[in-house]
Amino acid sequence: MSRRELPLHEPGRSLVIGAAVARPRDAYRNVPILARPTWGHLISAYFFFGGVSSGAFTLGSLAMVGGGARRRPLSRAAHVVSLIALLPCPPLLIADLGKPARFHHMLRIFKPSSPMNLGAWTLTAHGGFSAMTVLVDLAHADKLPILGPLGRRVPESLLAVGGIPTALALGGYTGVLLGATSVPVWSTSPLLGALFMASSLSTGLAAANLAVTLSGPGKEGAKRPLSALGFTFAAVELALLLGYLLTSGEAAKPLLQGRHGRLLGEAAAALGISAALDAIHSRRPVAPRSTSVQTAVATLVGGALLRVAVVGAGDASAGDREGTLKAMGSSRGNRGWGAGNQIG
Amino acid sequence: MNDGTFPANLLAGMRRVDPPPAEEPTGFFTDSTLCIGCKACEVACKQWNALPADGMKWTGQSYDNTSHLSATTWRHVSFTEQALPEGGVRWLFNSDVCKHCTAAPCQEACPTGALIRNEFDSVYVQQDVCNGCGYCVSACPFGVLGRSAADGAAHKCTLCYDRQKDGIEPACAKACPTASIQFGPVSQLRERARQRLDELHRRGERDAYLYGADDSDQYKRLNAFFLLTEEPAAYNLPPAPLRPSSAMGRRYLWSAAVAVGLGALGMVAMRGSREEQE
Repeated sequence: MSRRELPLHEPGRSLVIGAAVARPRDAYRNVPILARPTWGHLISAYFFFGGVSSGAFTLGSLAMVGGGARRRPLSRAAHVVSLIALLPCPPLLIADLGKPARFHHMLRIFKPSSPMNLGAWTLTAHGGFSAMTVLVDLAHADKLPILGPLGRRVPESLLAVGGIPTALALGGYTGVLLGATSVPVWSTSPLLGALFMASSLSTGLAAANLAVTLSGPGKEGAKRPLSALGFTFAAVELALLLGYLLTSGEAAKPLLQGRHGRLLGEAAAALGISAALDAIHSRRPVAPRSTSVQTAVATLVGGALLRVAVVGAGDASAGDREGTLKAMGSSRGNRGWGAGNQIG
Repeated sequence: MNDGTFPANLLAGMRRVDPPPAEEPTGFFTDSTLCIGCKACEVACKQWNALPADGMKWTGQSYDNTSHLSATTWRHVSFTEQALPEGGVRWLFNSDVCKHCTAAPCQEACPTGALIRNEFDSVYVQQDVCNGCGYCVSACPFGVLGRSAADGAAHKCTLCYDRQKDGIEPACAKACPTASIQFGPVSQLRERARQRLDELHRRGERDAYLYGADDSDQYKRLNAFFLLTEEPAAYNLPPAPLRPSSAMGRRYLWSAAVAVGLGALGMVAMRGSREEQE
């Protein structure tokens, strides 16, 4: 482009002064406004395992209450899966802190305005419910030494049902936590908590199904109602993912391109495969063992990739100055403190 | 009790003490039209607060090699070299700082209660409580807070809490040679800022405006506000910041709706089909 073609004297457009091209309003175009998030794969992993624990506990409890003796193996397996998935959570969370020895400072106050504070309390309460439920389950199955007689006195469903609210809260709060930041890709849509909630239930069901199928003796996989449930969960999760991306608008850009775009595409593909397999399975009374395992693995992989993509995209979003200026630009409902809005 | 040794140090941050009685809220009025870009505020801040150097990196952008506020930079003078339509160049300087928001997202987000509003109404990180979770870093719409790799905790401008306790003004305001940085009770600063704005408007500086002196549609006013003459983006400030906690109710409601809806479907599935029951 020759110098004559460059538009001169237009506010906000390129101006040519000697050899230098200066754009008056873009002097800081390479400097992000927001600070980069400190969270990485440890937090993605925590969100995933916490979600599995949340979903597995909820479904185990529903199986206990709704399914009776028929669902006893599923219920027990789900509660054990919930506890096992929970075990890596505190170490992951603590390892991510700048000062790991101070994790307990989150529990020095109760502060509902902070989703992270609520989350720390939820994780603590859920840990108690999850561990106690497994102990009581074992006691009722006559497999708990020493504490067995004591455990049998506790009604089976008391802790299992009482723990449902904190279990569900653990699955959804992580998305609300990311939403309550200034990072556009996380905060523009109100649906991130709902998406993680659905993913918690789908991955929790998949992990429980996997445990039952692998520990069971025969060649049978998931039964028809559970395949139908798996299909519903995966379909709702995919719908919420689409809704989250649509309501994010331009802020979703970091999730649609580059590395995180590929990860999210793979997550959606895995979820699509699991939904399709479950749709096929739900046409017969019992799914074959091998494809039942494949379905569960696809759901778990999809849920894990979803967390990695969304958490990772926060870094790109915070680093995208143009995106930040769009998310926090003057609009009719929010004129802000721009130059055209003089005060005084 | 010696708080430095194990296990007493585990409990040090758990103790709560009665806060000192509230004082008159104080803040900064930073008048960018008086700033000459000398960076005395940056140096004074680093020196008083014993903040480490950030390394010698050339940004390749203007004469500003600090770029942005961080865990170790609590005042930052932005340099904008602006080409004028009528020819020639003008400089826009502005000394950026923590805004000490009256409704501070970092304080709302902080899960440990390390971030408090102190008796001077400044937003302050209690270093013995902060556990380095990083939530405030992502909550701040101005990118003010940083987590230090050296000690793992979040750091930002304290509005020289220690100096204020002894009745002296913050180091940056003390060092500023042109009174571009003015410190004082916020109510007086606001009055002074309006007078200065009127004066500039009378002189024909119609572009001058106050950034953060009053509530905007979505964001409460700032205890550290600015007088600017270009769009906020020219100083790397968000034109219309949002409060991260504003849509919290909707976020929780959507999550709860999905939890209840899918939970109910889960219950139906667990009850099972007729063929299973036979």
